[in-house]
Amino acid sequence: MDFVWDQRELILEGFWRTIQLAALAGGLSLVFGTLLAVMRVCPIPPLRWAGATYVTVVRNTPLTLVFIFSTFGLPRLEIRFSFFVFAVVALTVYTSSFVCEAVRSGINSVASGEIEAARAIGLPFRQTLSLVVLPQAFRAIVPLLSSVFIALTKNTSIAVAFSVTEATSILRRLQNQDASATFPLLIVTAAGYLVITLALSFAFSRLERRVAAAR
Amino acid sequence: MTVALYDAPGPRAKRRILVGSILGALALVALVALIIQRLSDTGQFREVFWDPFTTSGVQRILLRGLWATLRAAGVALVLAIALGLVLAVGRLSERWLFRQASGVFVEFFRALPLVLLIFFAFLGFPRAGYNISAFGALVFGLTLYNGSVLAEIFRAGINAVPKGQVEAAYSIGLRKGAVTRLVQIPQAVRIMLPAIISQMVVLLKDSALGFIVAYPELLRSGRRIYTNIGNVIPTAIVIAAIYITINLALTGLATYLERRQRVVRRVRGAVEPPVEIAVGQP
Repeated sequence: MDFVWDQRELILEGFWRTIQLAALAGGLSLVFGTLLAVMRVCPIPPLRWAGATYVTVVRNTPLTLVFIFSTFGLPRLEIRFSFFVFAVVALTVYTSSFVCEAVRSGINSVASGEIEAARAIGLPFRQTLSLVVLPQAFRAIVPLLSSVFIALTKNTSIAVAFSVTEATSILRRLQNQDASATFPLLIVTAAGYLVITLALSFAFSRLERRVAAAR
Repeated sequence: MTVALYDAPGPRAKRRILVGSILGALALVALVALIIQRLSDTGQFREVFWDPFTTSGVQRILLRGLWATLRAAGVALVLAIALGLVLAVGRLSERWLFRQASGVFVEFFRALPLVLLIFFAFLGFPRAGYNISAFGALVFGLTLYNGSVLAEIFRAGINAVPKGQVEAAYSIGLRKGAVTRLVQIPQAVRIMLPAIISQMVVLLKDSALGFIVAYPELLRSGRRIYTNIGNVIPTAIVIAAIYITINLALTGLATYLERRQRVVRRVRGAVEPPVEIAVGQP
């Protein structure tokens, strides 16, 4: 346990890295996922197909393979970033497809009367979507987004195999240094993830209550 | 899409949609062309990179990897279903202690990263004096995580069985255990089957985490190939195609079962229960 206490700074740094990964990839996925969802419901067929193809391909590919594509594949195309950026790319590519499906289910959950009313007063597609449908859709999918972002936070741990010094790879490194501290290290790391995921789900349930009143 | 977000297009809108389609298609073609250009500029289409996949040696490596993936996923699935059933029955138990214990168990293992669960077995068990293979560690992690997710699916499925069924079963004198076993579970299985199969897709994808503990599954076999030949991207494309094919087949099966189930219900005139089943985590 002393060893773990001595290394507390390194462990905290690891979790800070984990939080950075999750926050960056989460923000980017929210943007790209929403764009994909809009593509999937828009009146222009080629964009609909493109969105659907993207989601089908990415959702059925293991995240570890997406990581291989970004970390080992992109350098082959002479596209070079740091390992951290590669990890953000992989997590964003993967999570966007889940955000897209969440947003789409939110769009489907908006009462048809709302959409008909928007069209009846002459709003074009873009305004129907941005002024009427999406604001209500996002309220409805707060719980779904919560589980998507919690999954994303947990998924950042896959970066351990791709040279990012996030919490799990710190665990791995310290366990190599002192195998007798294996269990304390595992417990501390598990506790760290629990704190992050519980905080996320707490924040999202507060958000859910706040936006629920308007419905 | 059940509700059209836009009016049926008139002549002008049709023209606009056509123009938009052409522009959109052009943009997509340009994007794809850009990617292909990049791939060919960096020599990803060279025959030395693709020919190996026609040789029996490389094919055998891939097949062995696929078999290892399916074996880990299959064993973990069976164990996870057993664990999920135990936990679901625990959560629906009348005893406070069982309910709480299974609730805490489910929440705990759903909240931890799967990688950490695998490391827990892989690094922790040898410290405690139990030797464990990479296969064992992978199956251990997959079982705990998916068992906890399946427990929630089972619970939702059992709750989705119409209440009248349970009341009728009690009224003809069955005890709680018999009601669960003879009335609730058989009907719940049918309701849950699509969600269980969706979870199989998640499990199959997660089995790729064996890569991290050097279990020789599909991705590890791919690594063996691309470290020898240097064709990371072609190998990754081939392996992605394998995963996508299997997963689409599973998803197709789930959709088919869902549709068939709906038909059966309508024919019998039963009241459709609100099937709100938590879909497995992404």
